Amino acid sequence: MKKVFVVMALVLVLALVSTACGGGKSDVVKITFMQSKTEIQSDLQTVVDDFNEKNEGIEVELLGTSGDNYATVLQSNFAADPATAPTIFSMSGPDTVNFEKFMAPLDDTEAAKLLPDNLKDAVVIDDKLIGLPSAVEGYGLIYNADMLSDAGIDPASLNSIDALVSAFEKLATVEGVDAPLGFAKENYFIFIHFFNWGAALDPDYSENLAKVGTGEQTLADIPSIKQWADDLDKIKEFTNKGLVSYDDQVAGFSAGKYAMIHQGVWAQQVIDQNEVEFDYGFIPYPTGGNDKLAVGTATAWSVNNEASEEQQKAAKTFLDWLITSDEGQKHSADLLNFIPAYTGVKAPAGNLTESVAEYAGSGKTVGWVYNTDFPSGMDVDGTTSIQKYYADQIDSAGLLQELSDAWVKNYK
Amino acid sequence: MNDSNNTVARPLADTDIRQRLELYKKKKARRSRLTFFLFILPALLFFANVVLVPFISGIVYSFTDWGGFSFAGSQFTGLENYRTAFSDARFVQSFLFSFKYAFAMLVLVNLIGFSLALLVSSKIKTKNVLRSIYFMPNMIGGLILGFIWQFIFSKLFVQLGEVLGAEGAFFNWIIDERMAFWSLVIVGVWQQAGYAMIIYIAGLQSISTDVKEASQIDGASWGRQLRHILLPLMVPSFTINMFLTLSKALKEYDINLALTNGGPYGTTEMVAMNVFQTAYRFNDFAEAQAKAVLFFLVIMVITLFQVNLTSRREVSA
Repeated sequence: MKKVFVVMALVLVLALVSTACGGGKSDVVKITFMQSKTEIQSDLQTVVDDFNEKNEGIEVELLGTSGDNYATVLQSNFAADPATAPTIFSMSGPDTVNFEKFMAPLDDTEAAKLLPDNLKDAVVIDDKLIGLPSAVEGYGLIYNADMLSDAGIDPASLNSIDALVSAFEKLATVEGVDAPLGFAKENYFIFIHFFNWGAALDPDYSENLAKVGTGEQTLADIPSIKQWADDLDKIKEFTNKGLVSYDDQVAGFSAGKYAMIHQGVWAQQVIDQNEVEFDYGFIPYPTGGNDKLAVGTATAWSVNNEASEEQQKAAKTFLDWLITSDEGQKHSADLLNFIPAYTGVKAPAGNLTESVAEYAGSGKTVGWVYNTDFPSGMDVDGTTSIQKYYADQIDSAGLLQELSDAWVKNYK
Repeated sequence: MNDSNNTVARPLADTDIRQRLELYKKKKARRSRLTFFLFILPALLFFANVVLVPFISGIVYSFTDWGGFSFAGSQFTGLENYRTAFSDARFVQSFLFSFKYAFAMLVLVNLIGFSLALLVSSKIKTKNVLRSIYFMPNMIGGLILGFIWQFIFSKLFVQLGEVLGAEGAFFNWIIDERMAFWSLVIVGVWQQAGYAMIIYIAGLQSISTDVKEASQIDGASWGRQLRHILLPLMVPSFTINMFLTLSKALKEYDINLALTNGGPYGTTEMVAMNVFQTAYRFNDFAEAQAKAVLFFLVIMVITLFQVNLTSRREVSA
């Protein structure tokens, strides 16, 4: 009998240990915070530490981030138990709709009052503000200013595809240049961001893209997208065909292998780390004579509506502190390099960031419509198709046809 | 009076003793069964928690329209997910690609693993060093291997081609449909041949020297020895090795992800990657689950068939 008792006691102890790990309760409201940008993680920790020091009663814990797999990890958290999932989480792109049911309305925050109307599209669903944009970001063609002026090209004159192509012809002969224009091979860089030009330049993109999804028309029936494909034919031979990784693309630009790259402000820190000796700047991708930069809200911060009342309140306090308080704004600009999405907030320094702020200020922007109007999975299918196009397996008409088919397949 | 005294003093009958002994034994057996059960209970709980329950719930999910979050509110849709899985050309293509890869791996891993085992069991001096060298790639994770080889295939090869003027053989293999397949095979073989080698060495060592010496005295050449002594006696090692390579190759994910990531244009996407993409990129969780169930069934059938087939050829000396 003694043996049985010992064994039973052991089992009991095991069971107790495994359940007793839950926490006790104290006066401090503990909230967790998870976000997708690995590049700001360590600076964000500094900001969070500062907040925790200055605000008693709230303790923010910044959870680790995994970059690429962020949405996957977050989804597992919510699938396991929404109440213990991160109190604040960042969200962007087509994943937003999946998490919509866990997003608490943020209309009553201080930060919401500072958010301009033109940025609300991406974060308002059913008249409810479900996220606070962290920053504004923009992308376009980043050019090597020294190389262009040596070749006698004025970047401001590159306002049509034909002008761009004749510039490429000159740049292709420059010593050390592999390809005048470099793309990176990651799904968003090779396809989503680039295809967005064609989609976003259509005035009725939302309606027209939905019609593609239901099969009423194909992408080739949308004039701006047809134009985008025709323009792609013209520049194809001057590109690197999207075969290198993002790191290699930016490194290649810094080393003068590409005269231009199709990238966004996020590349600024990397280019600066490479200590380039030339000047660089942004121009819009001039498909169909476009003169606007693609500007959107990067990621938005949402509050988990399954968290406790106090936690949700604490989360809003933290976000308001970060966005509206002087300390928070200073951190956002100096440490996190956020181009402010909110009116009257300090902007960080830097050629690309200033350029985006300028375009955004003068309203010369096109939206990131892939966040709201592309079916999920288009990044995978689109990348496959555009790789086929670059490898001469299909022509631009075939590309649009494959994309349309994928659009129908993925549309829900 | 006498009677009652007699009853007390009467010695126990044989049958009584036997009965009590039986009872005692039974009690003891029951108790040790209980102890036994209590000992395996924790392990059983863990096994049920991490294997049985997810497996069964996974099968259940595959018949619903589950969206990847809580299961409550999901509707049963019958075989709908399986139908869409079969009509997905990408899925079918990934299956064919996995089969092709598994076949190449099955042949090459075992051929090279066995040859290496023969080499390092022979009388060469460096055999201990060679054994560790050949085994080493197996200790590096597939992701890291993938990234290292990606550098070799996409950068070093291009440089080599330029320097040697042999652009026909050395170019960026990763972006070529045919060579991307072979680059996956090369990395896979490089990683797994060492492991197969270890199992073959164990097999070779278990063969009694009596048989080998007897055949030598009878004047059998090396080739005859290999064909009539070594190979038949090594079949158990082949069974296990072929099972391991087949199941590992069919389930390959990490090398696939790190080396080609399905490219160029989706031609090197294996089944595991397709299932993952279906769930997390296309957001069709239930369909991905149905694909995973099919994936499991196919692997099970193939490997059982293979084990059955090779173990029938096993002989003992």
